[in-house]
Amino acid sequence: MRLLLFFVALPLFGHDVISTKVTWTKELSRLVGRRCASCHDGKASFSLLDYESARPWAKAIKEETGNRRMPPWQAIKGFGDFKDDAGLTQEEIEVISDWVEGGAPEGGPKWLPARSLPVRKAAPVKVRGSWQPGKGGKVVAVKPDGLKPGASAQVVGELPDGGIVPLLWIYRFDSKYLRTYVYRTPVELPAGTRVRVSPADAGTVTLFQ
Amino acid sequence: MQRPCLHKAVKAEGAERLLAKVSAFCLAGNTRGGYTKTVFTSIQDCHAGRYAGFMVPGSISRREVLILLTGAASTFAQEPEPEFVCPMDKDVRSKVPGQCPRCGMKLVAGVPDAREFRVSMRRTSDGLALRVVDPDSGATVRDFELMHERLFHLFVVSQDLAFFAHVHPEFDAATGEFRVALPLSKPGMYRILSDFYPHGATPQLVAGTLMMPGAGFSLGVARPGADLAPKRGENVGVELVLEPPRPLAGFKTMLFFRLSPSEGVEPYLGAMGHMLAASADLIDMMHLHPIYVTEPEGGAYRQIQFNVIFPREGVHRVWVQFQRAGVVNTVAFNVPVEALG
Repeated sequence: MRLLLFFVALPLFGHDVISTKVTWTKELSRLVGRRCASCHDGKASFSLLDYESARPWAKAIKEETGNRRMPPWQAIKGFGDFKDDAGLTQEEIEVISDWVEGGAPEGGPKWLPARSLPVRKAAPVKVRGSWQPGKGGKVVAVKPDGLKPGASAQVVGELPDGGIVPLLWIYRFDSKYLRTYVYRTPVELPAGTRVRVSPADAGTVTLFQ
Repeated sequence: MQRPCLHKAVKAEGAERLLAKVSAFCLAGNTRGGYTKTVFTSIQDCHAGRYAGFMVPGSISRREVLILLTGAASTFAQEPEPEFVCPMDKDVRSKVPGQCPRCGMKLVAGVPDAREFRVSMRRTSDGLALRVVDPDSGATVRDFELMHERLFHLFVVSQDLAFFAHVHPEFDAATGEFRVALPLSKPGMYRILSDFYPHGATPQLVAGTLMMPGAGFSLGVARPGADLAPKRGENVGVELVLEPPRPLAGFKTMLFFRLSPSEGVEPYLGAMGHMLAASADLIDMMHLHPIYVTEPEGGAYRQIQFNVIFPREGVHRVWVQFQRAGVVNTVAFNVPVEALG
């Protein structure tokens, strides 16, 4: 049976044997539409919009997403709660690697999403100015503009009452994808709050109010 | 004479609907083996205007009908019975409704739409209170599916990887919160993985972070060495065998846990084992269940197999839980994962 599968698969994609039930038409088309299509539309960057375009990139997609280089959101989930969080969930990373390692099959056309979902545009960032530790107040956004290239850093607010608030966790910073992260709910940091970056030599961030 | 009309027909009615009509026609009186005859008689019918689906302006060419019917036939040929999928183990599928053989969850039809729910979390005097929030409405979610015999599974791991908990917060209908007592005393960062299944959505695995302030608080990433030595749980010994022996990031690793003594090993929360695999920096956290359970070598031990694709290189801490004779055993290994090349 294994041999038969091999020969069936041969004319399509070299040596790949299909060993997964995850398919492009079911899971991947939806995942890519949700997470990748806003850039990989064939204009801003190479297309991942359909199976023929995406299939040659399968191994690269697995490697880029598994290593958290793509999508280039850079912030680790669940460390600060941001609007328009474009990071992949752990489950999405698992689905991609299962699909690629299983031979990246297309699947039946009937499962394709009825229409492509509208690409969500990130809300424009409105800030009044940078947040000053002496004055305190609500922080609406954070920008890792002073981080060193390649740095992985956790940023927390150390409150005067001893509490500690997670603000941002950047993994392997790439300034090419520098962005401002907007909190879903502004974070109250009273006067006297100390913003600490760990490790201390990773650089700095700017908080906005 | 008005010529090609297939395009117009498709435009007027929609290709999908046209094809559906043809499919229905094929289905009505013909078996799968009778395609040639179906197509042939359909063409005759169409030319004679007998089939409503082809009552299109002008005449339709034989070639166009053939194209349409061939399309319909292939649609029909690929039209499977409804397919059911496990909302948690995506590779488990079935032609019939039922339960996932791996995790016991109820299979759902079709492809569920993924929505990312949020968990807001606060510390209480003795532990944690968690609230699940609908991503679209912002409302507190109160309706959950049972998953592995519980409404909520919570994994808590400390940044130094010394503390591990797999607990089940209880729902408080008055507040809409899940509450659990947790002995968190050591200052530092704890990563929290919330595992729940909102009714009508998909199972969720939501990562969060809890900061425990206190004297000596500092942030930092653990750098454990490999530890693959056999472990002793409460009432069972666990040996780990890896295949390949040196796991590679991005490629499947099979983890065989050999439990001895083998008798009395039983399901715990609806599965023969539970695993939390976390990268040492606690960025990747995966909750997995066994693929196979066997008793090789004449039952000398019970072998429980998990398949994992570690996404990145580096040491991963792997906690596994097995139940034997009513006692839950929790043991952990440090699995080194290398990058290819």
